[in-house]
Amino acid sequence: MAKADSAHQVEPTTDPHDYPELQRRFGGRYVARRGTQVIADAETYDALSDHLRREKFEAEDVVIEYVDPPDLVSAY
Amino acid sequence: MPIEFALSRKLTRFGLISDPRIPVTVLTVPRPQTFRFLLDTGADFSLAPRRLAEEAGLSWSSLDEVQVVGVERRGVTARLGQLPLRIGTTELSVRCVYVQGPGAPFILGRADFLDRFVLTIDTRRERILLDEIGGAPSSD
Repeated sequence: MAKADSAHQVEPTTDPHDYPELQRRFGGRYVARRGTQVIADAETYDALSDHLRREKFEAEDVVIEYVDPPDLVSAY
Repeated sequence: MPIEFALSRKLTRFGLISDPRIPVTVLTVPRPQTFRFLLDTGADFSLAPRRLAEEAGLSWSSLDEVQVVGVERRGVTARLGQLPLRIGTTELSVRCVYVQGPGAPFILGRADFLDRFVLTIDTRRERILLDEIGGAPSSD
């Protein structure tokens, strides 16, 4: 029998190692990370995208996300 | 073959909870970019900021206008377009509601996305599994 994981395509983790800490520092903002390092953040996605384009940071290894504030409850 | 992701946790005012977000490549122009999207079984359609529509090569004025409501029921005006994605080795295009305004999250909803996969959120193993319906069966 094959090992369970051999049947899975496991995506390399792009999660921040400590998302709660990311929330404390960047909650309510859009961030771009390379690995666990935040390379840019902005209040809006437009501003972040403009910055990434200016600095030529657009690349697949840069992960962009909206960081939920730690003190709110989301009901999307 | 299922695609497996780490399941992270997020902080809320009332403590830590699971946070099923996955990295997905959006086929933006001129080069693809990676975004972390929330997997939301409560969302009819996927959702993203307006700028992403333009970065995906869509013309804002050509998109159909649509009202989007959340729990507050006030609604916001948005536009419906396609969102070209790559997840693992699978490329697909999903209908997406593009929202103008601050704080628009990145969400993958049921239409064209979750309807296409068996989703497992395994909090014990801290893993998310997406198994494409009709895809190659797993060997385990």
